[in-house]
Amino acid sequence: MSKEMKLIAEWTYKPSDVVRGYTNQTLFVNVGSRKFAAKPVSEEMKLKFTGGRGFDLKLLWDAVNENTRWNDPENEIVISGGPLCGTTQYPGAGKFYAAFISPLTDQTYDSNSGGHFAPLLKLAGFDALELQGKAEKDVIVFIDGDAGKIQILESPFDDVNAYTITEALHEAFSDGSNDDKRFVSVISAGKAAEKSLWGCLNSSFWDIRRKVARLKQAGRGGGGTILRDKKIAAVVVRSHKLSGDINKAVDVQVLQDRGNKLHREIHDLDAQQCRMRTVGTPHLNEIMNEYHLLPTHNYKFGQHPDIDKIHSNVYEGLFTQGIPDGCWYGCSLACAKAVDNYTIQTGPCKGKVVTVDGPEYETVASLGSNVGVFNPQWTIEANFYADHYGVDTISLGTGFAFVCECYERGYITKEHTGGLDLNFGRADDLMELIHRMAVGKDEFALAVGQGIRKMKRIFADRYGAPYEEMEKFGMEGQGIEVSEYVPKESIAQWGGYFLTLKGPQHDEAWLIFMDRVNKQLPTFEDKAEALHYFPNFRTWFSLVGLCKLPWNDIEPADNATAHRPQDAAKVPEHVQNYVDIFNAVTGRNISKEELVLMSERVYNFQRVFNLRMGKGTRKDHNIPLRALGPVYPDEWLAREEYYDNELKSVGVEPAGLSVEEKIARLQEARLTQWEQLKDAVYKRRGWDRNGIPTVRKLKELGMDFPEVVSVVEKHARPEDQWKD
Amino acid sequence: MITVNGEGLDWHEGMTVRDIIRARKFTFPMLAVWIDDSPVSRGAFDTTVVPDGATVQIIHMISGG
Repeated sequence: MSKEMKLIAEWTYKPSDVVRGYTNQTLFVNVGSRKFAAKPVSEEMKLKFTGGRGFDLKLLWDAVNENTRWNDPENEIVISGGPLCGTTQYPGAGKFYAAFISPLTDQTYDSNSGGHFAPLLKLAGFDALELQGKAEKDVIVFIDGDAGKIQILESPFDDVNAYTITEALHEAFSDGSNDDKRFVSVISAGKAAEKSLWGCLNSSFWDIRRKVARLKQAGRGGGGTILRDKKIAAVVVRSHKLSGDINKAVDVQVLQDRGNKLHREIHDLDAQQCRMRTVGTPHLNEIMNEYHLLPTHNYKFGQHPDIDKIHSNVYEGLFTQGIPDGCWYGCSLACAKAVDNYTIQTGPCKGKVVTVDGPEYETVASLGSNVGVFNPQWTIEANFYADHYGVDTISLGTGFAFVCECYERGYITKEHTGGLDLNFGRADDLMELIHRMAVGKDEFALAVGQGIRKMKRIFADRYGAPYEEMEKFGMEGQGIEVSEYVPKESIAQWGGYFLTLKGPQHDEAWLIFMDRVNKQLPTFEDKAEALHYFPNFRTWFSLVGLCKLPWNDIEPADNATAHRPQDAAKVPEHVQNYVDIFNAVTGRNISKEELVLMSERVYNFQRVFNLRMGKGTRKDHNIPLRALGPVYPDEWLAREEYYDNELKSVGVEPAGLSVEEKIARLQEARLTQWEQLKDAVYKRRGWDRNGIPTVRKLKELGMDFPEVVSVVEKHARPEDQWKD
Repeated sequence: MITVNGEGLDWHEGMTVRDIIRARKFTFPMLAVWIDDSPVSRGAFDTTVVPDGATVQIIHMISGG
């Protein structure tokens, strides 16, 4: 730090104790007007919105209006854990969920992260944090849960990049000892978040074994861009009230029993199942490759001959073993893997020896196979800089893959790229582009950081690139980049990605195996049922503050034999665990059916919220042609027999057709299927043909608040209502 | 001939669950296998013989993401 942290404004409060998972108040901070408030949480708010993302969206709804855009001062970043967040008896209970109006999609976005921020925020006395306004110069928001005060401080940092600022703030807000730093958590972004719309929120926890700050990310949607637009360099929370019963649960014994059982499963079975404790999500690398699902060269292909270079065993060797890598206390799944003692090769940190969080599977694919780079060292370095500069690794990688294809097709040249050769696999030049983005070095680097949707327009207008061609392979939906699975062979996954609330992010439904491999979803109604159940079931994690991974990345030994296949995919014993631990913390008495209902309330509220923001209708559920199938001959020819059979399956005889004709015929058939899928899904979800929740549905869910109903009534059209 | 996840597969004498998994290149570790409505535990994939005409379901548990 080069300067002192001067106090700009301060507010004192009485920290509220946690009772049955809630503190029953939320914190409002406006960094522009320097106003502070504690807002009460009503019983109705808990019943209707549960917590976490539900609270975020409720508070955000009240803060913005239909004209609010991402960089308006009233836009907020709202952060909340949820009633189960902070639980230490059951794995995966340290998540926070952030919601905001996204700079990429101009509608609501929610993004989650591990780390210690949300549990410490709860211990500081708040169920949620609203950050509003814009400061005049860089500030730090400090939530001191020990002293009961909130401060806005002048930021002393010239370098706001994440690792720099996070390490310094753990030091500054602790007594400096290794042990004391764990009572602090920091949210930050970085320089690239100022220059691009892909800004991520980094959330820290202090790793007392490694003696370093670790960074987890709420990566998606541009939350970090908003943080920097508000001139918030960091948000710091501190509390020393850590205990074994943070949530003051009604029945701690149930938490311990369910937790102990899952700990045993993880201990006994993880090595034979997903190997989360040794390699984390990169256990998927070669599996996705084998099933043609690993995005390679901008999702053209799903396999690559160099897969062995990025095999999970390679990453297992790079990750430090033997250290419990949970990102919150009590998570024995421990998948927060890290590469220690990595020497940075490029950029401003060149020569520095660091600990790099990850890479996780998504980053191995995005900043790896998808841009044609099969070099783990490069991926680790790109991962480090993405976090440090504050950009989402998924959008960054998918965006770069789009750029590479534009370059390869000659739509952009070195003349445009500032001399960079951006063919697939050009590792050095791609790394240089990351560095250029961080400082906004030239107009090309700035254009890339706007995301694929805007890049298509910029490349067309500025460089004469053919817009319609780029529409085919620009892998975005609703304005945000696709995450790292090839979706084109699963109709259900088209929905899992593109019939979502916020765009193609894999946290709603991952149905490729169920649909394509298991053949469990043969009809559109079957697919629609899955696209109702799984998004809603998964939404529940975001309401209560849990991580999804301990749900189905580990399963009981008898899961596969004790239940019919259709049920086994839901991991019924773990679902029951969630019902039990929710009831044990809150004292409520929900069933597994009510669990889904809780989600459905918030899911539909968010859909109407998007409608209020001018989105949220059928036309906004766009899909690029490459997500439906091959768009160029090399994609078809890579799996010619397979695609010829696909053509036959839609009633077209491939014999005598050119490859281009085959592509056109398959695309035509799949576009029809896409519209059929939309109809089936909308109907199952209780939405009209235009994708708008019906008033009847809102009433059924008890979400028929007058202001919500009025949004629906304003947009619903008689011709879009189902006849039956 | 047997049916695997709704699609035909040539059968041979002594064919085991593991043989089918290899033939279909199913490398995912979390598989649930059912033969004619009876479950097969993962530990018995190598030794369970599949009868001719069987209906086999090899279910990949979701994972992913």
